[in-house]
Amino acid sequence: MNGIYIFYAYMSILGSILLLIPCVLVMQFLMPRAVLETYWREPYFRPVELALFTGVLAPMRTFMFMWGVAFPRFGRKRNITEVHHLVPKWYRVVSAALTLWLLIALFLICASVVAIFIYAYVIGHPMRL
Amino acid sequence: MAFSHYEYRIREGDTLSRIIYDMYGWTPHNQPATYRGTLQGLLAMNPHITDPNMIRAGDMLRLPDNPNSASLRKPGATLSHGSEFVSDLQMPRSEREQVAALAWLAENTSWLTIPGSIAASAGSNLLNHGNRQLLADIGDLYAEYKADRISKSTYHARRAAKIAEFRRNIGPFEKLLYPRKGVAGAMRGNRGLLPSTLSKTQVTYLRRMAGYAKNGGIVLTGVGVTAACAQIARTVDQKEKNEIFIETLASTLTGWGAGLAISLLLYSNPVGWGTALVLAIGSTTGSWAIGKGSAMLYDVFGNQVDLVRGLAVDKVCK
Repeated sequence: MNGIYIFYAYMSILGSILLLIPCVLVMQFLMPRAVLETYWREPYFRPVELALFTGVLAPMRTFMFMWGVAFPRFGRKRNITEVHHLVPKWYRVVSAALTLWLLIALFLICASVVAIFIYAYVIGHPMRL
Repeated sequence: MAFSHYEYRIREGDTLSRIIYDMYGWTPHNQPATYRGTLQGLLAMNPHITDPNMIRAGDMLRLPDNPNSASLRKPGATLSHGSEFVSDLQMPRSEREQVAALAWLAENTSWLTIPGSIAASAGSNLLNHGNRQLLADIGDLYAEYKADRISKSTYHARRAAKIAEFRRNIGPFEKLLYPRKGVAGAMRGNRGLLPSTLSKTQVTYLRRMAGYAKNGGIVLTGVGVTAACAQIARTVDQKEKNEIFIETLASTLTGWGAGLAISLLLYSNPVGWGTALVLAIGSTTGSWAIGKGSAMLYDVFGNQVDLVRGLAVDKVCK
């Protein structure tokens, strides 16, 4: 495989993370109010967390709930296992797609970087850290 | 970073090609590629020269100290050591200082931004409103006690619980914030101050610290981008410009992605000082390493692509 395609593939994965940011902002805008009213409070979250994930970090809160909507079992420790009933089906599907895509993209990026470091070491390519 | 170079004051009748020949021994005809590289380097070191065919007698010229050149040296050229942009070029003193600061920043930015980002991020996470509110609540508890709505023992028990939760949340950072007496000692005071006054004082102190951390993070982000831009602007080699650009782009995007991924972890784990540290160190060092790896991936596989020119990044940075 030509090396340039490896580079293009890698840059496409990086670019997809850039696309994820507006997607999360749209999901934040479209998130049913009932989700926040029901679960974004004590005792599900501690006061520190309620204060931390507001304002600039609110997209992280949205992504947490997207994760909970897509995979309800992950909310067992917080006793948030019914959040998926509060959102429409399309929201569940999109949440699952976006959260999985982020994990896959980060895994591919990390794996590529580890692989390139190993490859550079094997071929004796100079490393500049 | 300090480096060696020659300084030469241009005389009447000099041309750049003549100076390069006298200095290094190559011309556009005997070694065209080397000559082009030297000329490009010379122009990068002398930003006051906008047209290589128009140089002025009396101007100071900086010449790279090329170890591969013949032992020819232009008479009058003197060896100097200094930062790349600091010279007696004809620019105002204030501008020279700014350029020198940028050159220093471009070389040393990682040592500043990486630990700085970790500290700012951890500080911002730990000194959030929720943690400050725990100390503010002590003032409210005292007011309730004075109004006889709660007993003295209840007041003390609740006060101790608030301080314990605050200490649990900030962990070892208590020693940084309260190096002498710890938060419990700070909330006791030593001049007979009322708990409500102490509570307000401590909340104000923590808010000020949180402000430093938040603004420090914003400043460091700006410093990182500015340093990358300065490096792109002053680097002659187009491949190196692309490596810097891709490193900055990859580390920024991965930092955002890591922030979102960490939120998945937080869904099932409460935020304590350990999580705050994981958030700060993980996202900062991880994105730094991925930036370095991405630059290397470009170097190995993608160096035919010129993203910097294609996206006009060099023009913006210049």
